[in-house]
Amino acid sequence: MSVFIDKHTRILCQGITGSNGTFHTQQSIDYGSDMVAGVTPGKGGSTHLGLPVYNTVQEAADAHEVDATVIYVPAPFAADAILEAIEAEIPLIVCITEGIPVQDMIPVSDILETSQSLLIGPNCPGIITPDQCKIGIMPGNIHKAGNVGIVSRSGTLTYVAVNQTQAFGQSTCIGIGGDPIHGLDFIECLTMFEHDSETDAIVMVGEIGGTAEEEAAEFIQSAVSKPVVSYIAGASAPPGKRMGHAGAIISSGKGTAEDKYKALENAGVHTVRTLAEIGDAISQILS
Amino acid sequence: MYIHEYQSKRLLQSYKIPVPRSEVFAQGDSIEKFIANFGGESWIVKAQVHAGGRGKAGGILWAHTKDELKDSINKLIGNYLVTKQTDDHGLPINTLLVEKPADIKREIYLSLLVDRGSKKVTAIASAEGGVNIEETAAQSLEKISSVTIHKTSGIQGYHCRLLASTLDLNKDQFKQFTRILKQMYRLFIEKDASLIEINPLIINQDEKLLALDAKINFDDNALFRHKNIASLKDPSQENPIELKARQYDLNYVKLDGSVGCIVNGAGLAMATMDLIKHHGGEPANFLDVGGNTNAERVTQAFNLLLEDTNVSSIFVNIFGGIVRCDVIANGILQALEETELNIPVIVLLQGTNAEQGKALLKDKHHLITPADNLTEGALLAIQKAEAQA
Repeated sequence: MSVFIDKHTRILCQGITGSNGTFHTQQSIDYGSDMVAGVTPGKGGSTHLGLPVYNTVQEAADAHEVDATVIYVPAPFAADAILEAIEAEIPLIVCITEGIPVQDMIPVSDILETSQSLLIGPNCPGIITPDQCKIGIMPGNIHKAGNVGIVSRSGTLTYVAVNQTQAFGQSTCIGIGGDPIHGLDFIECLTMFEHDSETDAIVMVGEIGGTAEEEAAEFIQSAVSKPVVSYIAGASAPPGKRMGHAGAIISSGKGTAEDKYKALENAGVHTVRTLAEIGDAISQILS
Repeated sequence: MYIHEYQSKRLLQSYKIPVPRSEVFAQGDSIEKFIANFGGESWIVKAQVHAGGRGKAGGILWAHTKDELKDSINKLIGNYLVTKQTDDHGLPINTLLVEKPADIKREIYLSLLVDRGSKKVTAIASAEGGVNIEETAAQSLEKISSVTIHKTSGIQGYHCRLLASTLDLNKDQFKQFTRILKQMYRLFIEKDASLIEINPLIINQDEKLLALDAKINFDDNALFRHKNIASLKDPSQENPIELKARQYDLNYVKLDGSVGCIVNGAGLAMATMDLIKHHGGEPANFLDVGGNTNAERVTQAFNLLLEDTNVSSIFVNIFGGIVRCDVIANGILQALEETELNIPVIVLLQGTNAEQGKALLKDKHHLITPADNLTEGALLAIQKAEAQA
């Protein structure tokens, strides 16, 4: 088992004919993901990378069984693309696009709440179940099938965590994205890992800003029995400076790395103060 | 994006939110003409810089005679203001806002922002506005009221009533408050603001509500659809290296330490700073060359760090994903040929083709020391920076 995706997941790509869409769809196909079709408005009826292209998500969903969609649409049009995928009732929506205006995401989150769809991202690397299915921009070759579940707010930090857990491999790795308004949060991912028979330990990589890690800590205490290792990036960030992730803003003394570490430690989470120690912590737990 | 107080007030005014009467004095303007045209008996001269704590730093001066007004303008314009939020160098004062003082009866706090918890626009108010609002919030949360506004409904009367319930306003004041809040919300939505804060929103002796100070921030990601807002940007308020970084499309924040960092990915860049600090060093900067970086961007990053004279060593921490480490290694070697860099460079390459990359760098250049892991890389960078000092 794995969480959210496996080798049977059939994937649509929105923005498939753009440069990112083209490059990463090819990478996903090479990895063995089951890409079934693409969508680019105005290019319906054509073929790209050997896949049929449609004008709308609905047309693609009518013609194919679609379990998930991945969005590479440019930021000004990305919220539109997510809403279109929700409307077409695609179960899993993975939005890679970074730089979406925050106010565009407000109606997306409202409508998402009343739908059956799940959203991963935006501004994230995507999700991968090693050797089965890769949806997103992560380098497939660094991953290895195994029993560590990884969930993270940051892209390259996820890759570092993957690299350090090579001795055990990963069940599924999920980048939930660092934007202030995003889809899946730590809690949903932790729930899935808790119930996944292939996952024996969980790595949670957080970041300063917001209170998602504090909420996750509370949840872990009450509902997660598997060992969790956690690192929070940004302890050294000066207050008020924007560090590239819209979410990573320290606001009025809340959401500091220290607050988050304290909450996690109180919940029995194995915290590490530098990213270099993630691998050792997992080794100690699983050996 | 930040804008100046005078720009914020003009925007509020264009949305019919009352502000005190004021004039803008820009560097190069004639003081005599300015004073002759701006009558009255007393004035407040406010330095326009992108930093808080102006009053305590001497950036806000009172003038009770025309001579005092002239002195105040001369004292501030063209100088630098150092506040608790700026670095030691301070920010240049190129513009002044000269205002009529208001007769303040009461000070209220009022703001709008996108709350990531509720994923909605939230309005916050307090009967105790003014410079100590953060202490009020920390000590007595019951003095702060807030409401969440659904995008579908937009702002309604009940939002205003709920928010005003703790503000102790009479009927006429409440009417003014409602008008101001509704207009603020319109501005917030129409211009993709991320924060509008009026603090204080005062009630004057004539029972009128006025925005005495205002701060408006905008969502950088939405500036593409607000050219008029984007044009309000004042580059003089930014660190010159940060400004250059933006031209290169690099994500850079200057800090005060000596260990320069070049990292791919914002999260990893933050984590690298944490690592350096954890081992007793001080990072000179946050620098993200992009998750999927290339050799050219690494070269630009070297050029950028050359401008910061505090940098005594550079830690290059690249996780090769789609971009291979051997390509990055060649890029680093080429960059060192092209730049005038003369400080130690510690390079950690991980991920795709990391071993090949490391092999390429070994004994190739006297400035380069390849590292085997994160901790070793950080320790080497700190050690080399200290040796240079």
